[in-house]
Amino acid sequence: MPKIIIVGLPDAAVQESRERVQSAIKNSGLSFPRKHITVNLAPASVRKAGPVYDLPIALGILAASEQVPAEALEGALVLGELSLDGSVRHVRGVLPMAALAREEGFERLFVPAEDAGEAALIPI
Amino acid sequence: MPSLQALYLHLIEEQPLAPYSGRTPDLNTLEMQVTDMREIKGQEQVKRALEVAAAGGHNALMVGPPGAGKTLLARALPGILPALSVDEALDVTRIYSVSDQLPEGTPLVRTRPFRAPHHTISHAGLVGGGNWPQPGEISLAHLGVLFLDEMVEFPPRVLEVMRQPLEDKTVTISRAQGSLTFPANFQLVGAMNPCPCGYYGDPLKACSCSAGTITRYQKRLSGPMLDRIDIHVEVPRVDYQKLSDERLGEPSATVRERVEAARALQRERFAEDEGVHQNADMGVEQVRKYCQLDEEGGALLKSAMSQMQLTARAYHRTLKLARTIADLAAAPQILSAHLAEALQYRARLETLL
Repeated sequence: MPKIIIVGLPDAAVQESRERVQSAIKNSGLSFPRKHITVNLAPASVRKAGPVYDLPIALGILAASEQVPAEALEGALVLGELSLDGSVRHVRGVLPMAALAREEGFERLFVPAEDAGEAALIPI
Repeated sequence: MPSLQALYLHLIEEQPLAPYSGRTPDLNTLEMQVTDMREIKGQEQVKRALEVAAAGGHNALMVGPPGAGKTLLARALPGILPALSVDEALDVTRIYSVSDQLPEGTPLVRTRPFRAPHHTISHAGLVGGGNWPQPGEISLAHLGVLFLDEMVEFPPRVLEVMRQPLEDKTVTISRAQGSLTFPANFQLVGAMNPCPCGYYGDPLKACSCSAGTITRYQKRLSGPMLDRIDIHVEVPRVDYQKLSDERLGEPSATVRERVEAARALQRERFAEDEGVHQNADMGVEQVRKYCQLDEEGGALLKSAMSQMQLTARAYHRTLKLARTIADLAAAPQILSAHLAEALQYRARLETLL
């Protein structure tokens, strides 16, 4: 029975991301794997809140089903909420996350188009 | 990126996304749409007090009858505050980004925040809180002004939670899941009437309150709270002659130039002191180092201490205020005239009227 489970202290918005990710992947002309999927948000002891994990989860599924080469995601930090049609929506707190990405040595940062100006305040 | 599909095509190297090339905001421009001080008739002593408050980041309380212009004066305050430096602007923007309050199309907050919460605010709304802690008004006012209009109407419990952040410049919210610290280096500006009817001490209109009501009204601001306010200033009614005067007052831009000059002196002074940017940020150590009095000033402060029954905190706060007044006059040493002006702002609520 194909189903998707999210573990790692997700709140309600993170739980709902299952539905958004599934629709977004299908509506982007990609295939959603008909398998049992467990998404682990590590570290499991930290509470996860908000819809910002939608896009990373979707990419994780695409990488695991080999639709996207895993090495394409090397050194990248991805943020974004998905809508059902696959477009990426604004998320809050992009500036502090961009600052963190820089501190942690990420080479690439993918943010919603709307929030690009905010992220650009942190020089690469 | 605009959509999952676009990102997918980028990752499989079919249709690469271009890195963001939009205009990074110009960090040097400052936009202003606030009341200009020159539009406010009279109230010269209040304008001076606000100038001192802006120059050193000191807390202020305005007391006066309804319609005297307290709110208008407070709204003019952002216009004389010094510009945010690039680092400060980034600090403020971070807070606004986290609480999702960045206005659309402005990725960077360039002006000092001016927050004026209504008095029905809850204490979680003021200092921050929630199951998943969010910054409150005092953090949103970080490096700017928190204006509390009708300050006595705020529930005492709500006001008292600000006491610690006012001293520490940060607020730590502890929940079962862990604790979070938000910056909260704000300048508190309050406005209130002297009594419930509003006319106590007014030269023209008689006050209809009983002595007991007035005391109870003023007691709503606790001693510890008043002790943290450096500048107490009376805002009297404006008479016809001043109101009908066609001449405009001093424009905000001129006042801001003086404030900026005083701030430049402070930046130079605190270049080596970590975390101190303005006179109000000084710790005990810096007060000892930078606020030396001459003999005359020492004698004046000594007699004022006993006469006005100043607390140890008030002693330090008065010295910091005197330092700001000296900076506005570009004086390297605090003179007794500067100290006298600082002491005059220190007058407590009861003696103000």
